[in-house]
Amino acid sequence: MRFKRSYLWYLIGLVALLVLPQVISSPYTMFLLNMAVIYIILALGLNVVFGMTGMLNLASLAFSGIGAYTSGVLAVRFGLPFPLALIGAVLVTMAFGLVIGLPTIRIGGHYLAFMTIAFGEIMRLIFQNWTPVTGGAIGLSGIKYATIGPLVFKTHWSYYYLSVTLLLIMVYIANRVRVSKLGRAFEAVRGSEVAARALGINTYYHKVLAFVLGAAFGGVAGTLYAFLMRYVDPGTFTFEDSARVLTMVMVGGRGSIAGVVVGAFLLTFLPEWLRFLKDYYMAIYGLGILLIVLFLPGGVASLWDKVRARLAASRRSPAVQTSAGKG
Amino acid sequence: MGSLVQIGVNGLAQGSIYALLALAIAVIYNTTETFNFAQGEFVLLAAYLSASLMGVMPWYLAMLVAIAAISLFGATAFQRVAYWPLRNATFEFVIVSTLGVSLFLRNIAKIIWGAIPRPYPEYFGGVWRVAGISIVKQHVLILAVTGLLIFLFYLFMMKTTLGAMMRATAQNKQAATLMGVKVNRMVSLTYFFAALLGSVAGILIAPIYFLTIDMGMATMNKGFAATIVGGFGSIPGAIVGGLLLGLVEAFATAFISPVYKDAYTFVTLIAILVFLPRGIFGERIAEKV
Repeated sequence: MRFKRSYLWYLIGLVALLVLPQVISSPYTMFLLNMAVIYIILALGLNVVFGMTGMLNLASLAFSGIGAYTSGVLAVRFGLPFPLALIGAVLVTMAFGLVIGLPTIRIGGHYLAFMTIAFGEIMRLIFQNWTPVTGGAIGLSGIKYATIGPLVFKTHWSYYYLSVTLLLIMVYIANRVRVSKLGRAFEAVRGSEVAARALGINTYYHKVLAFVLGAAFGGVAGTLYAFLMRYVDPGTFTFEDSARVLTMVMVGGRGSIAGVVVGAFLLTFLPEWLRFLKDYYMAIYGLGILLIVLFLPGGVASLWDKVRARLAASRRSPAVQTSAGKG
Repeated sequence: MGSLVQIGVNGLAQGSIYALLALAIAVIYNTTETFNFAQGEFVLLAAYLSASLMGVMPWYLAMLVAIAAISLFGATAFQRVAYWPLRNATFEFVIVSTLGVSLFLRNIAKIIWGAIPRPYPEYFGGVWRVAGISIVKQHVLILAVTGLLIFLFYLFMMKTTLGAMMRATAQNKQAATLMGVKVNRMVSLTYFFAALLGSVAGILIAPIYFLTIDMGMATMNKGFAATIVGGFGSIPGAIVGGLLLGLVEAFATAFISPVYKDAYTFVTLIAILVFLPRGIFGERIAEKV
């Protein structure tokens, strides 16, 4: 019964995702939806690194930038189609994750957060200045429409189906990791590294693994971004946007996949919904982030738990009364 | 030889600003074990506020009032809202809350003062020529004010009871509380210093660069870089790291190419991270468990 009901929910969700573009007529909204998918993938990656394993990575956008430039360069200069560019980008971002992760994770803690900031800045400068490869400040243009065999993803609508398919794969991977032995090891490392080590978990190995896995999500998101815009601009991959991904994870509820998906979606669309506030919208957005951290520290995911706990409590209370009456 | 001195002075002046920011970051890290990502907003607000106040009062008074106002704001409302409710949470929460406040303050500043960069009135304009070397007066002012501020800060921390209480709080909050130190007051004081250092830095660099909405963010990033170079949580490290970055930037700009000005900071950073991962004056102890 319970299994069937959860499958039903998955089915409803899937149908909703597939039908959604049909009810949207504005290309801009579709574009934002694609951006939301990209941010969700980035936030899921950060959730593996930070939400599950507890390492603060403030360079999410650096990894997506590596992904975007790698797939962009593979597509423009080597003429590779989307799937091969994607694979190349994922491999390169994972390699970067490994190279950055190996030395920095050993030092750990607050240093890691700072080193990722430094890494992000360095990458941004490389994107901006390595003109022969990245196109420098002008950016990398000339990326063709994404194609998979005979399929061509030209409009924001068709592209949405491509990005959502990748999103579902990434959600599946994130969920598989979470419920597996590996995910439990990650969570043990976050809880207490000393205790995890006492249980025989190789904490260094697991932390590096989580970092590399998180980088792979950046590679996927970056590739989707490059083929969505068909142009990669160095100004996109800033520290501020990395901080925004962190905010998405915190607002959604770190560790919860559903929460992170909702958080990333909300924070992509929130600035748009606040546009009626004119000049004030970014200020209100900042204030909103503060209020959520202050009053809902577990994020949106904890809100759901709270509602459920209250429902369960209200359902239980009559039963408690009758048993008390009997006694 | 003369040009070397000139470049050195430029570098030290720029480095002093980084040092002020790094010092603020280090002070906050020592007391609260977290970061204030709205540190750059103190720089921004003080610069803009003082420029506006100059319309109604003499310039020196405008600067002092702006510094005092921003410092008090940091010690009271800012700290109470962005840090205090989260003092028992892990440090990432404070990062996100201060990021939220930073976004809020920056955009409020944008609404009040507009997004267009504007010049800041110069009161120490001009250049001194000594033995064939030209030295920008504002640079000398920056060096003098930073030196004085660091000296006073040192005296405060080392020679007063309040300073000893702050150092005690940084070392061990619980023990400090048992000794009768009111930790909440120490937190206020910490944020007061952070805001003071930030706002002085803002007023000092405003005449060199234009007033822009992103000036705080840009300065803060260099401050963070200086903190890492100098060594985390180390006060002398923050100062040395800031000055070093300023010098590297100035000499590399002069002898290599001005195009990559910001890159030099981060190349230095990589070199430090590779060879001295804990910075020049980094803590030798392991991370607290």
